[in-house]
Amino acid sequence: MWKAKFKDGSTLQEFDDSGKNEVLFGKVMARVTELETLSILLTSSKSFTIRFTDGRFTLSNNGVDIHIYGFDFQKYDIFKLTNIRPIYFVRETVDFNIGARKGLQVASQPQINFIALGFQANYENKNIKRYLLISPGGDSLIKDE
Amino acid sequence: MAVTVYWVEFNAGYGDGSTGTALAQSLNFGSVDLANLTPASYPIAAGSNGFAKYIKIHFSGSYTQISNAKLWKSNGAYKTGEAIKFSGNYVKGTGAPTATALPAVSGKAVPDIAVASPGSANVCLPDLTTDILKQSEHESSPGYASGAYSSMMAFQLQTTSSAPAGPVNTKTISLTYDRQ
Repeated sequence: MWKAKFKDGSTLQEFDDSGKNEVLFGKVMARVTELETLSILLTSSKSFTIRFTDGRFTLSNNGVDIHIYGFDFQKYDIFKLTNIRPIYFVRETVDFNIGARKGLQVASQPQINFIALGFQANYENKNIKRYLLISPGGDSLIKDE
Repeated sequence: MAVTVYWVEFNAGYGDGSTGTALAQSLNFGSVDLANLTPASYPIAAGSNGFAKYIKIHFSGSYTQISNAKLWKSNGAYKTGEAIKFSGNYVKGTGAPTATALPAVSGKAVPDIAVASPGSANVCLPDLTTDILKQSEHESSPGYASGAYSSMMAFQLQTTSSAPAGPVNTKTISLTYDRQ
């Protein structure tokens, strides 16, 4: 589940407290310039957060936070980034069969490959991307493009 | 949060603008234009082609957008003389599918289906400006979209005379996409 926090302190999350009512991510994108942080709450004790003011990633696991800063990678100066935008998507796969007697199910429920969380921005006339690939099991890998 | 994927087959004279003829439960090729066919009942002779299959992916559910759709053969070996052709952006028109080799598009032959995840999207999503399926353009009830399709895809199993007798191997076709 994603959770967005805005500069005015308000929040939006994928499901309300009842867990029944879903909010589309488009509502976050509608306020993208106000966005302060975006989190993936994988479990009650494990989450991943990107802070857009300085590109800091925070990996939280059982109350322990690990911060990863933009300058840790020495590739660019986070304070010179412009037009910072979130990266968030879920990559899913569905499989179909050819040649099988029983064939497919009529409706195939996709399987999640990973969740991408991060930011893209402009830097020295280039578009750069930094994001985490978060597996459904909670492993993560940071990617730069 | 969740997207449900259907494959919709377009048989006979059902064209690109129609809603198709059947929910495909298999992508089995044969010597007839029929959805969900049993291959043993409609064998393809060595040296000939199966009837072309025209299929769109139907997405329904709650999402903001879907993009970056990639399709490839992820499992199942070819037999000698066997190939599957695939295009992720094809025009069917209102003619019935045949066993004639899929005509080239703008002089470019329909290629073999990829056997590894392609480096870039190879299934066209029908927003021709952005190639992104947007929920807002297909919303059927608040927060829910029920009628979004990919562009028409074309598949065809082709064989040469060297293809051995008997059934081909079962294969898996994988589709990945990015949902937001």
